[in-house]
Amino acid sequence: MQEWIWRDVRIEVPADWEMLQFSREREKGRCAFADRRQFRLELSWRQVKGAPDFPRMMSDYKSRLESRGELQDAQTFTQAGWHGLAGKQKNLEVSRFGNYFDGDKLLVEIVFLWPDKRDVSLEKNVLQSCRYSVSEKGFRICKAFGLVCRIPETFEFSACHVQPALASMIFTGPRKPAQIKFQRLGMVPQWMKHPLADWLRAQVPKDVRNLNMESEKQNGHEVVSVTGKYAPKGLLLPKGLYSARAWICPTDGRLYHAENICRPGEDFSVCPLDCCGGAL
Amino acid sequence: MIEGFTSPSWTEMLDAVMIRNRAAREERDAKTGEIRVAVPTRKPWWHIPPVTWIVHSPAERITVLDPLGALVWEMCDGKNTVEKIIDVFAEKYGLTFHESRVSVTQYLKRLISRGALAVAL
Repeated sequence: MQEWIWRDVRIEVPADWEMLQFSREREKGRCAFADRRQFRLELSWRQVKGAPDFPRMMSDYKSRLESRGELQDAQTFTQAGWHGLAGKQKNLEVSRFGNYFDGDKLLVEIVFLWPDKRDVSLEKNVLQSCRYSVSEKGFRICKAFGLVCRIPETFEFSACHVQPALASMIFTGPRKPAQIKFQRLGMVPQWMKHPLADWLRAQVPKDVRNLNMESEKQNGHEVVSVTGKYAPKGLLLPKGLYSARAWICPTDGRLYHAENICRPGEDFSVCPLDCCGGAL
Repeated sequence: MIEGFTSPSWTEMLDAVMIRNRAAREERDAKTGEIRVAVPTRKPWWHIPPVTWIVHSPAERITVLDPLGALVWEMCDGKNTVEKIIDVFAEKYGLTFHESRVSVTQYLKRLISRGALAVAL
């Protein structure tokens, strides 16, 4: 099983299930996991005012799906504390579950698709693992696409780009120019033709001056770091401090890159990005 | 559930087998690991003198494959399924299955559009 933490919802899914669709919105969104052949799980969330009346909601849901002819042989039940509804949809077994996470007043729905036969044991394991991920010491955790990052609670998830061998996430602070960016890149020997320090220097925005580069060994990783002053040209543009780190993990061969622009006086210079089970 | 959730687009493609264009000619560069695939072009009906005195069309369309593309090309032997090619690519370059699937299918699409490959379902 592999753990994912997305939009403060923690879930464990089989290791060969990958997230292929996602939305970043906090209030309402969804993400979908697929195995190599087809989508297997959809996780959707919505912020609500309070806990819903689940028995009534599930019965209404069941009636609606049955009246539309979208679900046959439907049955409602409870599994691992989740309110469930299972049945057949287009010759495919489908089980849907709903739960309410009080931590963030979140209504969560999980839909499983079973191409062969419904695996109740796997279903139970996934449902038991799914819960609200509580912040630790003012930091939220985001765990997806091989990245495990800790972000200050006040920061918003503003962008996420996922391509083959590239995953990047950007979080922006409440006041400009505060921003944190995490990247994980693959196939490094195929495109990296220069030393890592040169690559890191090339990533530094043009508005950063007084660069100071360092290199040190941490947990068996050669970590290259750069710091500088973020000073965009323009009288009213906010200034800040810039820091970035990069390393190539000897275990998975991927390049990890963490970049942080913070306001003067704030100390987010150590915004940890995990690698090999530990924070670097 | 959104459209495509129950029947995604990639499933059928995984069982497909890629067949090389028999007329295609390949040249290997041992130094760089690149492969040049030359596919003969079909001349349009109007491509006769005096038009050919002014407009010259190449006899072959050349596609240069980098070492990554060369691996995909070499596996397109009419026997390996696309799924097998994806697995080998993922293993060799340390990618996940879907990362490899997107890369390999993009490459295959490009080779199909250039007439170097055909799909057998």
